[in-house]
Amino acid sequence: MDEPLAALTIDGRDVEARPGAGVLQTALEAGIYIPHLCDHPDLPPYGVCRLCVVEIDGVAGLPASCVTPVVAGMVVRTRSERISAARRLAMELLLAGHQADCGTCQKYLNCELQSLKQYLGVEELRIKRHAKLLPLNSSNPLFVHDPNKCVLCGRCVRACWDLRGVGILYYRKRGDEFYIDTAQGTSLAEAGCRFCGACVEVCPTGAMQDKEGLIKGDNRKAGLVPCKSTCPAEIDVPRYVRFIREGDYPAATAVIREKVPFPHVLGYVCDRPCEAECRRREINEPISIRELKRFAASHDEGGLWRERAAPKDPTGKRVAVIGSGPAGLTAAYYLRLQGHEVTVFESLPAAGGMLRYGIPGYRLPRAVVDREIREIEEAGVVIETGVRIESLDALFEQGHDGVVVAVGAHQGQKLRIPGAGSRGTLVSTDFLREVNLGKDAAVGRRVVVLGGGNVAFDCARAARRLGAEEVFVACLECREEMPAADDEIRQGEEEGIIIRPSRTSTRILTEDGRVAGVEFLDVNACYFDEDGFPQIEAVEGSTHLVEADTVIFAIGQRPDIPDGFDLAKTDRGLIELDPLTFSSSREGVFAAGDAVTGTASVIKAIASGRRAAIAMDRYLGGNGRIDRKLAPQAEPQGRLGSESGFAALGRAADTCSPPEERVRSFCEVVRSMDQGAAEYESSRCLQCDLRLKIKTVDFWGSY
Amino acid sequence: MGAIPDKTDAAVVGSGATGLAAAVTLAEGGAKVVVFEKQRSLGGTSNFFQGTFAVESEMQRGRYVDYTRDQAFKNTMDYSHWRANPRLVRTIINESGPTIAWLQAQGVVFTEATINMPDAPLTYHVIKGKGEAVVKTLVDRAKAKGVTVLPGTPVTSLLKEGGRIAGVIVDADGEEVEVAARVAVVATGGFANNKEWIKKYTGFELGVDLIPVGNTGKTGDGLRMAWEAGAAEEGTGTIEMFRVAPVGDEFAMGCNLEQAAAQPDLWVTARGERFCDEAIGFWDTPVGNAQARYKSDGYTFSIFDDSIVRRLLEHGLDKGVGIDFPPGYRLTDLPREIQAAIDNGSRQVFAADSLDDLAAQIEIEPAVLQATVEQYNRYCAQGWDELFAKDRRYLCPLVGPRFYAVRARAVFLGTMGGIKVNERLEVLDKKDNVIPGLYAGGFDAGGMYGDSYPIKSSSGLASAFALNSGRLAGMGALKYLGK
Repeated sequence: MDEPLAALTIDGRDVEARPGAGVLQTALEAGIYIPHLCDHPDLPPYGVCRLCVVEIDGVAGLPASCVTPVVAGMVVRTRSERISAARRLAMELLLAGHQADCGTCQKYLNCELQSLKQYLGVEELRIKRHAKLLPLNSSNPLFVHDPNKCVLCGRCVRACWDLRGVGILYYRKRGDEFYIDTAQGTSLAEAGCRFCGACVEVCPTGAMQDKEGLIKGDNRKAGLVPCKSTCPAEIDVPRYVRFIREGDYPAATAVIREKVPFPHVLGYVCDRPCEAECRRREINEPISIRELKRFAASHDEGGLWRERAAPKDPTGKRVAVIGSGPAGLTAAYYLRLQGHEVTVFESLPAAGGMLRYGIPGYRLPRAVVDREIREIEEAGVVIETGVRIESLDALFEQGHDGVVVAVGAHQGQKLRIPGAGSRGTLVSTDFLREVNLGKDAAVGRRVVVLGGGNVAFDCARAARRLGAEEVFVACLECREEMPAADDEIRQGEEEGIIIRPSRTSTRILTEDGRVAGVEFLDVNACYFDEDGFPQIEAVEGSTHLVEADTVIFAIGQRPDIPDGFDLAKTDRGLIELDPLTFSSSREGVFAAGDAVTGTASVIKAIASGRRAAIAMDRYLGGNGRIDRKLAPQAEPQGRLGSESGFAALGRAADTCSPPEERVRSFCEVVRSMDQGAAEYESSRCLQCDLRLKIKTVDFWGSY
Repeated sequence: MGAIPDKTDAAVVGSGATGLAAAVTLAEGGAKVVVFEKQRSLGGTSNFFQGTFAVESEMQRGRYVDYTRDQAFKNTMDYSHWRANPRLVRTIINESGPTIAWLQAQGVVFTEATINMPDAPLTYHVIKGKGEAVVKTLVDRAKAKGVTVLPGTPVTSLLKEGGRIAGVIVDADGEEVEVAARVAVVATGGFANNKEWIKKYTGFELGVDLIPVGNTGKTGDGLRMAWEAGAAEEGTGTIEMFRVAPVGDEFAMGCNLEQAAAQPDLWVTARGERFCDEAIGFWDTPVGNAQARYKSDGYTFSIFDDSIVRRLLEHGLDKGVGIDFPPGYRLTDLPREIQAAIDNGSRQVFAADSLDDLAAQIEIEPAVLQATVEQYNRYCAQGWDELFAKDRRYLCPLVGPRFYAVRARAVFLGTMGGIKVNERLEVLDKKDNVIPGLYAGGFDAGGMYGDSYPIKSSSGLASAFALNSGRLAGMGALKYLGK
């Protein structure tokens, strides 16, 4: 039962409030500004800063409004000469112990103390400042503590104890100076800190701050949760990791599905840019986000997400999507959910694009691809395979209102070196397609793969599985700068792949028109010049030879865009899009995936498909809002409790089947984590998103 | 909390002195105004200034300060070698006196017309409560006149229709919102925190050989949006530079150490050699330029000893630092601050019982530092600085027993140009045609200076340019709006 509201007047205005609510909060909610510092809407009131003093009829002196509960009939005044004088005095006391370093302080213009000083018009010349000269503590990961800027408002202590239940921050004393620290002055890690950042978030001055450079970009909120903001599709990582920790895997999968229709595929092959930015990396190692995603998607019993994923009412519009890779299918799926009729045209015999014809089965089992494509079809997307589209006009003539071009980048290339055309030379895309079609892709005994990216490793590891005895991967880049993912390189080496970095191939040696080997030069440096052209500094006289009977070129792919599409292209041969509308040069034609970006990752292709769907939906008269709330909107538990040893918890290692076993087949290499590992790994998450739930204090200028 | 309106007469981008002066002027003339500020706190860098330039103000008249508008104009133009826009300079200088009166009418209190350096005209009108008081007063006035002030609401771009300003696009917590407006006043305070642009336009590495002071989040939003709307560029490479020691989170602005290191005693490069007449430290731009010659090192040192510490304790400063610390101010906290810095393991402040030891700590060849000090002490003894002709008043020898070194860096208070404007603060396109409805001022607008800041003849000019350009933009925009 709601209690009846109490009526009171503040500055002559009638205001209603819950009895027992603080006078300060009541005034602020009514739009009446009262300066305050130690009070924070998420923390228990404290009443120490004395900035929020008011006059109340019948109450002696100047009570602090934050700790004064509302009583019916109260008459409050927030402004008078007496109040101003008391507030200024309180402010002078705060400033006397605060290092005046606004000019170089990172908190400046987000600093409550500075804003209050401005509001109260305190003349700093009157203040005899007392320099504490305490050492700055930047020894902890993520946060910097400068006790010289601390005004002892106690917000951080209350946040640590009352808001989070962690309870590791204390008031301490050194000589005559008070400051905030852990009980024994130990590191935050040793004290059992959860690194949630609540203390930093509530600090009204620059005393507790995020380390410089850690919060990237202009948008602070996005920067605070870098896993989510780094994800091209902006998957809400902390939210699904939380569901995994709570054992609710269908809810976790639903969170992932709020942004992508391929959670399980991504659980296998995502290049996980999120993990590179995970804030836990600053403490020890990032959360194993991809493996957690795979775990959740493979434990999605019941498919909770389907409850809210029904297509909208039909719009009567028809869309054609060309290409059934992750970009095309993502665009198709979201356009279908917006109520449009969608047909996907695929030139190959089965849908999936690079998921099926590029990535080998040992990295991505075909059953996983099949299952997620089937879900898209079940939503009503029609996929026509074995149909190659040569002209967009024909599609419009058939009654389509719009076309999404997502043909990918399937055209491999060869280096223009002598011998590149000889028998025994292969191109990555063709080779992988043959392998994945189950055709008899023949490789010899000694295989050299030219290229250093993931596709090169796909070729090399596939070649091993097809029986090659010795497989070399040779690339221009030095070892540290190879573009392939670390785990690809590591697993490849375990399987006996020999890596030859920092070299450039100068010709293919032949015997009777067949490949006999590759001639290389060592490379000192390779880089892109100012115009974006690759430059290679070779070592003179370093010519050497690697014998081989098969050479596979894996040096990048280009899209094959039929001239009949009549689309403007960039000088790299990619489809040109308007950066704002994502429209191509033809009205009603949008594009997505590798055909737009050049060879990229699955998650980037999906993100690109999302953008194309949004743009197309708007073009067709929709609102472009493709996001749906599929998962329960549970408020996260903000009380973390302390946990000794939390900082030291190491990352759960991937488990792979033994190399000698796995090179004999195309069975999956990395084993799924078990429930115990998933519980453990998800519990390592810092829950950076909790910080965004802490309310922001509005400064006087906002009233 | 204010909601974002769909339309207004004038959108003011930035809540510093320029934006607020424009907003109040526009509101006084009956225009509907919205001030957008990307930060949570209002006023930006304008919170820091302690005074502002004016000539022929009533305050100056009352104090027999007879520096004229003509003299100020000639001096400013001479200083820039006529690189500055003469009509703009003339207009700003002529308006500066009335602007003081206007600010006083708004409620700003000035305490003094003075100066904080030798040999300079008394142009500096000191503000009670410094820039923060100007910001607070103008915000209160603006709100009283119906202006909507929106902190935490960045403008991301300008909208044009038929070549005229039609509004702005605002980032409302991640959502793009359009606000229709016939006038936009761009006043975002320059690009002092934009690493890439600082490198491109000034050649400095931000945070390495050039440290921004009093600037936060200045990414050049205003310049970018104006350029995107077709504005021409002017004055982009000019910055307001000087020299500070020590720099670091552990040192408060204006702390005793900083004041000691600013005194015109012995200064040396990272190689241990003197590099300037230390008395140029009275004027920001010359000392900034002298320091900036040693960009590749990134720092120089101020060297002093116990005898100099004693002088500062007993006789106080020679060079005042800001208006708060005039000559004669005694550095009573200096010994404590030095000790704390040493105790906290600072890499900015060093102390030693011998020059050799000091040289080792600051990684200078001991023989070089010895020679420099010996030569300097000889100049002190003979009362003539043979090398740089420093005034003999500032020749105090270093005799120990303890010696100190403080690392100094080039710092700057802001970038001073970018958008080309005329004397009505109308923004010009690349053919010098006015972009109707678009105005710029303060650190975003170019043309007031040459390649550096004329501190000596016109102290307080940067804040005066902000306030006056804002007022003039407001007046011009009122006419444009037909009010």
